Parts: sequence; structure tokens; C-alpha cells
Amino acid sequence: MTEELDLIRNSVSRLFKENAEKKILDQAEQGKFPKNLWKTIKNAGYHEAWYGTGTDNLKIALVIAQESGRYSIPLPIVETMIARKLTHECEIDLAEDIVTISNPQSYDNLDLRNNILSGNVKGVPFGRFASKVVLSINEKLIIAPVTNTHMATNMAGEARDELSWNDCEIFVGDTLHPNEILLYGALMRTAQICGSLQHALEMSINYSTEREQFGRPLHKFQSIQNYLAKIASSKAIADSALLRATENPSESNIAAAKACASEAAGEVAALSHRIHGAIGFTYEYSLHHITRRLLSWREEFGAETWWHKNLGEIVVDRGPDKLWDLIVS
Amino acid sequence: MIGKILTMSSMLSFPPVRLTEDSLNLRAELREFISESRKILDWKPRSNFMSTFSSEFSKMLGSNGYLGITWPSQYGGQDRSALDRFVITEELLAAGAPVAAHWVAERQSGPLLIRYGNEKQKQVILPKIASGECYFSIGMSEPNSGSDLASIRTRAENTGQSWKITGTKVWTSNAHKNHWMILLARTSPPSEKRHEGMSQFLIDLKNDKMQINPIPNMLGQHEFNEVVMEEMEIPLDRLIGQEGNGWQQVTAELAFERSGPERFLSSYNVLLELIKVSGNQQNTEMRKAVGKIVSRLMALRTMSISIAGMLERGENPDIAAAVVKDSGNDFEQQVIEITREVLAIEPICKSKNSQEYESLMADLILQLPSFSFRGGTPEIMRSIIARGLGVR
Repeated sequence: MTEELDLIRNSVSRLFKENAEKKILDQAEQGKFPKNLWKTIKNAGYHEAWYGTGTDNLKIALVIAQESGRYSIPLPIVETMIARKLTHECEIDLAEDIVTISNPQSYDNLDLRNNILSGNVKGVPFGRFASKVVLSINEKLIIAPVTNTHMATNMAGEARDELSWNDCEIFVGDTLHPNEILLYGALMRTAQICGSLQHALEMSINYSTEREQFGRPLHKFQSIQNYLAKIASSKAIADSALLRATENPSESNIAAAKACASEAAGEVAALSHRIHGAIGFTYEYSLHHITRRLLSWREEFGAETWWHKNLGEIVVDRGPDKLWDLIVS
Repeated sequence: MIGKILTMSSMLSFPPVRLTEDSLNLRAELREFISESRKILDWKPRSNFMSTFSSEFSKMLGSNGYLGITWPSQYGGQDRSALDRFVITEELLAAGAPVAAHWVAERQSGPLLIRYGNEKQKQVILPKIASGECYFSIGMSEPNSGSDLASIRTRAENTGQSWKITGTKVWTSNAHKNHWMILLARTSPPSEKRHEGMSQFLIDLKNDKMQINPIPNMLGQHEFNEVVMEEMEIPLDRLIGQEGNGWQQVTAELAFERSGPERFLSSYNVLLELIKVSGNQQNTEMRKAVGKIVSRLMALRTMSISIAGMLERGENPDIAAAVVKDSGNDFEQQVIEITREVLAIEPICKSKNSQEYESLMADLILQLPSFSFRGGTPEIMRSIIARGLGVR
């Protein structure tokens, strides 16, 4: 499977790289939905890569998530993947829809009676572009239409909208624990962060090779080499934690993965800016497309402290004698 | 530049590893062995793997077939995989078993001899390492050569009848207890290509004519030594590998030294105590601290076993190993600081074998400065990583 995944990664990476022009990223931030790019992705089937029951589907989905993060693709690929996965046993056909998910951490006064929903949710990824949103209320899977939208964005200019319902009829499906949405969201954001860390490292290496000061390239300075090594190490930790969660997506492994990725995101964003100096702070240079995503994604679906607490509770409840089995399993 | 980046990403990727049924059985077997050996030898779990010298324990491991298992069977090995060996080492370290006696010999000296040693060296020494009876020291650093290893001055001169060796080695762990030292010496004067002209030799610590002087560490313990050799003569067949190939041999040896789980498990007992204390209190900050430590530990363990997989496939993971060494180092430091933030304890130095939390912390805090330079300093690790990124 490793070799097959490498082949998939190469073709996904090529498609994203060819399409992720700076112009498209900038326009997406101004609120323009990149329709053609979405069409391309849909034709390639990326948005439903996790659909179905194949054991390798998750691995493929995470490769797509990682590469979409690497090229800052401004589209709800992972959200649609998760929504499709969660609803795959429902009798509603969502094949043509853009579907998003809502993080249970941001539910506000949701009230569900029979099939009628009222209340608000915040920070819905790409809410304004989606036709439906998947939620978990009273441990039931809910598919709600997107109606009232109050537009907001994260620090990277990605739509994170507030949705509200007032006595709205919705679809109620089978059991769905809210944790499932949270864990899947965290796992996908982890993969996106890892991809983005890769790009930050590549840009930092390139810049420090091209830029000269005091008569030599920046990378000849030991302190710059130290920053680059630190970026590579932080990324290696996040990658390893993601690898663990990919091989065995248990709650504790996902918790560890998002925690490590969120920590790395902050460290790498700061160091990449330090290496780039003033040019990295300009809108024209596209480092910010990466770093603003890193700084946003580290908070979404649980920041590191949230997952530290979650993992700590699991570990403490099991007790010291059972920690080692958790580490080596 | 693109070429460089591609090499970089392949060098610093960590492929998944699946343990076989055999490895998992080995793990269960080993846990059994560890608890048996504890009953018989009454050893106390210690975190710092280099401070627990027990030849009884090493021999017991050896006679049960847990040492040198990756080596060819004609040299006392069992032709098993590097992943099986990884399982053994991590179980021993997590249990805090007294592994210092055989550790260096089994980890790096044996593999070096398998790769470069002559037939006689292999036949005489390897079976004894595998039976837990033969221990090794590392003869690299000198008074004026630490991180800059290529600047060593110890000379070895071929007189036709013997090698005549003059020079001083320092920080030589357990030279006063071990049987052999692998010495790095200059066999031709330094030239412009400073990594050339060095060779490795087997030194008989019990019988060759040298002086071994203790260098007590800051805890007052005797682990380090100064080894002084003055026109010391050793037989010609003690050369390891090719004359002049010492640098390449040392580099390969160091990849074994840097990537193992000993780089992040020294603080494991402290973590267990923190979990124990947290279990008795409803304290969110403590649980966060536990989660923060465990999340990193999980990542480091995955990285380290992935490198064992690379070693198994015959790759040279020196850059990935430097990442484990450097990150492991940072991790051990963090365990102390994160624990201090949530738990007000005053570390206390008590009797050597005390298992109390205060005493575990004191030991870890005082040992910590040595973790950074053992196996190469963080500065050297970062320059190796930078080289791997193509920027040096």
C-alpha cells in the first residue's frame, strides 16, 4: 500500500499544484468560490475519497487532505469528505452537493424537537458555499439545510460562517456521537497542517538559499540553519503523530496527532516568518497563505491544550500501568 | 534546488512499520522475563539507562537469547529483524531495567564489528556480547576534540610488528569496568581532507598497557574516565575494517547510537509518577500536562520505530536519527519543566535506589545536562539536519 499511496500522492499533488495559483487563493479570500477548481476536484473524486468501507480509504483521504493543505486549496474538500463518510448509510443522496460539517464545540443553544431545529452554530467551514451541513444533536446524525448565513472568516480568509435555524425542518438519521465529528475534523486538520508545514519548510529553504546578506546566502548563517533544522524537527514530530493516527485512528492517537500538529503549526509559522523577514509580511509574497492557515487550523477542531486535556484524561483514567500498552499499540 | 528538496523530503519521511506476530510474541515473552529477573536479582527500576551496570542482569538476558538477536547465527545471533531488537530495547527501557553493562556493546560495537571486523574479531567477540559477558566503551572524544571529532590527535603507527598508539581519550564511560574499547585514531597526519586518515582499533581494556583515570561527574558518580595511552603496542590484527576508513565507520556507528528509544525514555518513570499523582486529584492542569507529555512521547516512539524499519532495510537513516536524538533531548527537558508547572515538589537526593518521586526527579534533573552531549550535541544534530535539508 505504501507504494500505491506514493503514486496517489504524486498525482494529487500535481493536480493541486497546477491549480493553486496565487490569483485563485486571493480571489477565494475576497469571497469568490473557485468553481472550476471544485469541478476538477469533483471529477477526480477527491471529495468522496473516504466514502465507502475500504480499509485504505482513510489513508487515501488523508493523503488528499495533506496535499490540499500543502497547496492551501481554498475549498471544502475535507469537510465534504467527512460529511459524505458520516452520511454514507443515510438514504439521502448527497452526491452532487457541497456538504460541510459543524464542530460540536461551537453549538450555541441548539434545540431539536422531532424534526424541527432552532439555534445557532459558529465557525462552519465554507458554510456559505454548502447546501447542507452535518451535525450531531442528542447523539443523532442531523442533516440541516444551509439557510441563514452570517458570514465570517478565519485568519486565513477561509469562510467560517455562523448558521442559524428557526423552526427548520431537518433530516434525522441514526446514532452519531458528537465526538465523531470532532475527531474526524481534528484528524483531517492534522493532515492539512502537516501538508502546510511541508510547504513552509520548502519556502523557507528556497528563500534562505536565494536571499543574500553580508555577501552570502542566508542559509550559510548558523542561526538560520538552526531555524530550518527546528522547522524540520517540528514537522517530523507532527508527521510521525499523523502516521500513528493514520495507521490506527483511535481517540488517543488522533488526540496526540492534533496536539502535536497544532504545536508544530505555531512554531513553524513563527520561524518561517523570522527567516523571511519583511518580505514574508507583504500580501504579494505568498508565505502568508500558508502561515495564516497554520495559525487558524491549529485552533480548529480543538487546539493543542484541548487535546492535551482529552489525552491526559484517557491516560490518567487508564492508570500508569496501562500507559505503555497505549504507547506501543 | 528542486532536486535538493526532493532528496530532503525522502530523507526525512518516516515510513510506517507493522510489527509481525513474532515480534508481538517476543514482547509478551520479554515482559515475563523482566518480571522474573526482578524477582531473582531484586533490581530497582531506574530511568537513566547508563547508570545501572549489572553484569548479572546482562548475562541473564544473554543466556535467554535476548542480545545480538539480529546478528548472523554463526556469531551467536539469531538472524532476527531490527524490529524484534527494537521491541526488546523499548521493553527493557520502559521497565527501567539495569542495562548499562551490555548496552553500548550490543547497540553499536557488535554491529560495527559485523560490518567491518575481520573473521577472528567476529568469532572471538560477538558470541560473548550476545551472551551478555562482554562490554564495550567508546573511544572517540579527546581533551581537545569534542564535537569536532575530526580534530583528534591520538596516533596509531604501524611498526611492522604492531600498532603503536599514543594519545588520550576522555568521557570514556565505564572503561574501568568494560572489556574492550573501540578507539578512533589518526593513522596518517591530518590533510586538507580532514575526514581522511583515521582508523578504528580494538583496545583490550583489561590487558593493554594504558592508564585509566576516573573523571567523577557532577553527581559525584564514577562513570567517565580518562584513558591515557603512551606508545601502547597492540597486535596488528586489532585494526577494524580498512585503514583510513575510520570516519565512514564512525558515522555508521553513530546512527545506531542516536535513534533508539533510550533518547526519550529516561524520563518515563517520572511520567508514571505524575500519572499516579494525577489519578488521586481532580486537577485539569495535571491532566493537560500528562497529555502534553504523552502526545510527544507517542510521536517520538513512532519516529524511532520507523527508523528501526529503515535500519532493517539496510538504509542509512543518519539524518532521521539526528532528529530523534535532538527532539528526544528536548522532550526529556520538557518532561521536567511541564511536571514542575503542575506539581510542587522539592527534588530530594536520597539513597541511590529510592523510588520516591522526589528522588526520581532529582536524579533526572541532575543527569539531564549529560543527555545533550551523549551521542552528539544538539548543535551537531542540527547541523546534520541542515545538511540533510541541502543547506550546508
